[in-house]
Amino acid sequence: MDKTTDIKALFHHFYRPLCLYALHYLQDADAAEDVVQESFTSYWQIITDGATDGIGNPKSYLYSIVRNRCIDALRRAGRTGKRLRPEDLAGEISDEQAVERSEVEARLWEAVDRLPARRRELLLMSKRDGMTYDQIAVATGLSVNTVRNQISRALHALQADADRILKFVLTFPLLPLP
Amino acid sequence: MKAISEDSLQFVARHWRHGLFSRKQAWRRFRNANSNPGISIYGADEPVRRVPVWGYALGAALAAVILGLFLFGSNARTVIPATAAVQSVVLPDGSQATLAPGATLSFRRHGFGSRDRSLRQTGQIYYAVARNEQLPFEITASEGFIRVLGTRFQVISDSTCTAVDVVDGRVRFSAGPAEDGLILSKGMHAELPAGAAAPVLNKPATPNPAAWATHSFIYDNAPLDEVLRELSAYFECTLGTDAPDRRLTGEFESGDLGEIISLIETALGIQIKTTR
Repeated sequence: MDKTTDIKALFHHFYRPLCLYALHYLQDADAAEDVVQESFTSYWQIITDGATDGIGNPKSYLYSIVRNRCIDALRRAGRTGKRLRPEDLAGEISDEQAVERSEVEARLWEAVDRLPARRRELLLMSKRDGMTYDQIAVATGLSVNTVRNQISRALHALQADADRILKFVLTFPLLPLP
Repeated sequence: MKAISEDSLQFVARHWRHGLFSRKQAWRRFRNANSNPGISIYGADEPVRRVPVWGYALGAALAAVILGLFLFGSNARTVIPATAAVQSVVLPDGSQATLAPGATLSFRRHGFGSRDRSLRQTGQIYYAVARNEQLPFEITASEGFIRVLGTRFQVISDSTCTAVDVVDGRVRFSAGPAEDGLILSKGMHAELPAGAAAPVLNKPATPNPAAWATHSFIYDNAPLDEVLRELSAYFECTLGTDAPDRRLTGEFESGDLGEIISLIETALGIQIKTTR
């Protein structure tokens, strides 16, 4: 496989999961995007300077570049010890969990992208802002029934996407190794 | 099939913004930063098009005509008027604005989201901005000018001062579009008094100044008395403790005050007194 299509396929496949992975470390979306960009750049430099015939496992290689850069960024921000570990909203998670979750969450992210705007906003008010259906109804002027109905449809759509993607992942291997 | 985990859903919901983590934009950025003369990074499906010089001139002339047309053409504005309650609106570009009571917001009826993303505001407004690197999101307040690509922050503006609090991402804050400004990131607060040439950094009044709109409280090694002051204001009660110097790191969703208090009590091994 030639290097150009290779890097494009890798970028396409791993950009979002790596962003979500970095987000578990950094908790800042823009910083996460910067780290992932820099990581792909250094991956690309390693590939193109000809010192290697190819990288056996691009996925684990990319994840480890991103991990190191995240930890560097956290150190620069004055963090040490336990506070260099990945987290979710409830607290610390392991690095393996962060890798696993980054793939699931990247798909979930895309599914949220695809929701109709209004339905998505109601879902976010519930899941992001922790508002109850009653509070959302008051804030938007919709009836509680409409709010409940719209959020339940949004959740169904996310679940359907998750099922479809799980099947896809089970049927096809991720990427051929070079 | 396996159900979506609530933890993952909440994590995605917390950070999701329109257009953020766009693979297309990211790939373009990567390609521009890594054009290597040895190996073409352009895929076969994306030929490099060479536009002759006269093509640029023609383009510029066309752009000038279009610009003139819309500068002198429709200037009708959509105005979100002040109300007595908190109101949340979704703007044509997918960004979300949460207006505190009394705040107003206006933008050009035609072209917002396609030609520009310029807003005028008064009062206190929280924004969750859809990411779009081609069209910066720009706010003109009574004093000051704010420009972002995609982020979450609030602007508080009255006749004496404009203040900006960043929840997430990066924000450029200056006295005017062409003035030097400050780049603010997550957790930073800056103020621009009326008549000043540039904004100045300041400590936010409380750790989560936009909690009224985000309904979440994030503490990173925050002094407990500051935490209790903020929670007291949000839940309209008085919280006291005999260990005000202790420090707290954690994240809470607004909801049940009793639950938040018992979490803090357990985490720090202290007692908190609530007076309504």
